[in-house]
Amino acid sequence: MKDEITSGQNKSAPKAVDWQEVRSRLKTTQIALDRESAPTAEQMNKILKQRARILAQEPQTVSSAQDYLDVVEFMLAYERYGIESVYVREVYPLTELVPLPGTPAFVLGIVNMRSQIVSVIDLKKFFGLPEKGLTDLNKIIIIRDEKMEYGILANDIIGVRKVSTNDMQVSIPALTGVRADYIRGVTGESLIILDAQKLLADKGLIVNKELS
Amino acid sequence: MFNNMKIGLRLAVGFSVMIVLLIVLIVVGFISINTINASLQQIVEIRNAITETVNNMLGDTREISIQTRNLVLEKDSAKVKEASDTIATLQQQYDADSKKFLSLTVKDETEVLDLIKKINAIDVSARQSTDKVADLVAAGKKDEAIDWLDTDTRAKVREWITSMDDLKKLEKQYTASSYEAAQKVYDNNLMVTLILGAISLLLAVLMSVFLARSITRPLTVATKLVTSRDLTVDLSEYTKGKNELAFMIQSFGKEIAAQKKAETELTNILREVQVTTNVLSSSSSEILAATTQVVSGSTETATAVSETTTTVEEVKQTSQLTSQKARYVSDNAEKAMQAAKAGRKAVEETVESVNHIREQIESIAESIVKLSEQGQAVGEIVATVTDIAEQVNLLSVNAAIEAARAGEQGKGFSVVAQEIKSLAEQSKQATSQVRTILNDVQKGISSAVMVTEQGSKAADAGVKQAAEAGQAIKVLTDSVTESAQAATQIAASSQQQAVGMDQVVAAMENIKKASAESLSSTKQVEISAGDLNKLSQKLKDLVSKFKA
Repeated sequence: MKDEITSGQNKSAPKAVDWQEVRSRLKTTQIALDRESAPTAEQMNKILKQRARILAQEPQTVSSAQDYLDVVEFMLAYERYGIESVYVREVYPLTELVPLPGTPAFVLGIVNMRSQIVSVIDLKKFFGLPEKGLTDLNKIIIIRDEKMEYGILANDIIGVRKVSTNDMQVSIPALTGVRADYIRGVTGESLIILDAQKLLADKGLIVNKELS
Repeated sequence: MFNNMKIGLRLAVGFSVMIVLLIVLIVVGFISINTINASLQQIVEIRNAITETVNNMLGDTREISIQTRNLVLEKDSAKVKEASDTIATLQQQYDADSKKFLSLTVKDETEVLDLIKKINAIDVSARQSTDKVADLVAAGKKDEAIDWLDTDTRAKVREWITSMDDLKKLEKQYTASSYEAAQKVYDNNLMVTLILGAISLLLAVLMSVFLARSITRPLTVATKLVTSRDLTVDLSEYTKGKNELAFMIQSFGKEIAAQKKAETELTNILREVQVTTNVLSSSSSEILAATTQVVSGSTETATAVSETTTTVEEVKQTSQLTSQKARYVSDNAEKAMQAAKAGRKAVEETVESVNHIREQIESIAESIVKLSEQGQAVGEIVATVTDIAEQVNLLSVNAAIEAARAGEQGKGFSVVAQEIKSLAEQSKQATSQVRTILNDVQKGISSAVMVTEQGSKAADAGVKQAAEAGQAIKVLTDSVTESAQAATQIAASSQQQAVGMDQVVAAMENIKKASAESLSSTKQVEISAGDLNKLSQKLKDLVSKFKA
């Protein structure tokens, strides 16, 4: 269509515009749209059957549940991290972040989550990773245990998946710095499993400051 | 006194003196000549006659002797007669001669007379003897005759001859003395004549010298005066006197004075003439040079004229060609005007259609903008859907978490959660696809808008260009009209030019003729100038000969 318009406007076009062809194409598109927007019963059946087929396929995951770990996979500064879903309360989109002055840099601020105030920690700053900016609909992963509960900033939530503990290596030499303390392990797919317990238990995260 | 005598008088006096002397001389001479003549006459007439007579007589005698011998010797009687006759004749002759002799003889020459007498006597006897012989012969006594002849006659004859010889000698003496006398007279006369002659010569010489001097001296002076032209010399001794020479000298003097004056004037004039001649010479050479230049110039003119004529012909040709072309241009201009009109109309139509197009474009742009707005709306919806998908995704995660937390009972729920997640994924994918397509659409729209804008601008430009084209066509039409007019004018002026060229050609011909004539006359002038130059040169030479 773009081409047709271009050639239609260009008075000195080398080839003449075939309006017939344009109209037929437009018509085809229209039909397609109509079909898609209001599919007929037959079409609907076809689609549903296709979906059923896909769904009927055996899932890839197999047995031996006890070796598995449910982790919430997320992206943080171009790196894939995972955190145990046991400790994950929920995942929430980052909206209406209220920054708190007088807090360390890794404390982004607080957020109102269904009338609950939850603080947000930026692990990037905590780990010293490069900034990516508040982009890509940043999300919070709220982790909790008996004592602590806060949200971790994530770039993207990939999903929940089962990770085999057998595949996990405890540590690799590439990981250095602060992160190394909080890493539970790394999978073969380069998924860094964070230790939620450690994260939650860290005293460094507790800010107890009074502004004078 | 002498000075006052005119030359004629002087000459007359001189000549008369000389004439007198001459007369004297002539008279004297005459006298002496006469005397001499008389003497000579005597000698010739008498003495010579005498001598001749004597000789004759002697001859006769000898002849008689011979004839007598013949008379004796001859046998023939006729011859004897002849001889005797001859003797007779001779004797007569002798007698005649003797008489003559006697008549001639001067009476006072006694010796001669005596001798004559003797001779006569002898003669007589001789004759007698001879007669005897003759008689003897006649008688036929030849031998006796011969004997008589040998003895008597011969002796007498011999005596006769001897006496004749003596007479002759005597006569000779007398003749000689006559000669001497004549000679003496001659000598005397000669002396006198000579003396007189000398005297007269001397006188004549003196006279003539004096005369000559009296004439030539003044003449010399006059000549000197004339040649030297020196008036400072004192000529008083020559100018006084009333003779012609004095007058001549005087007049020479005056003449010379006048001449001198005239000469000075002449010298001045000559100087002026010289100057003038110089000027003339230089002027004539200048004239010559100028005429030569004129000649060459005329030749050049002629050449130029012929060149001009050729050029004019060419111009004429060119002008004809131009005229043709102008007409052609004019015709073409008409066609061009028609085309221009059509063009203008086409331009107007073009402008109309372009405007129409612009309207269309604008409507297209509107539709596109609407499309864009709708796209935007779609975008918003897509954003909403994406948001929903995100939330669903989160929800699915939360569901999965809850399911995990629920453990065994949550398994079914985890499936549901999984489905929700997959749906969310699909929705996300779909929305992302939609987004992509929407982006493409948006890009397409913006490019379409851009193109439309461009099109609109192009349409504007097209309108402007059409307007410009219209303007250009108008300008073209105007210029074509002008050029058509100009072409017509050119055609007309070409015609005029052709006519003018003809006139120029005619004029050129005239010029050619005139220049030819001028050339010939200039050549003549050149010749005349040359002659003038030569003449002036001659004049110059002539004038230079005159020394001031």
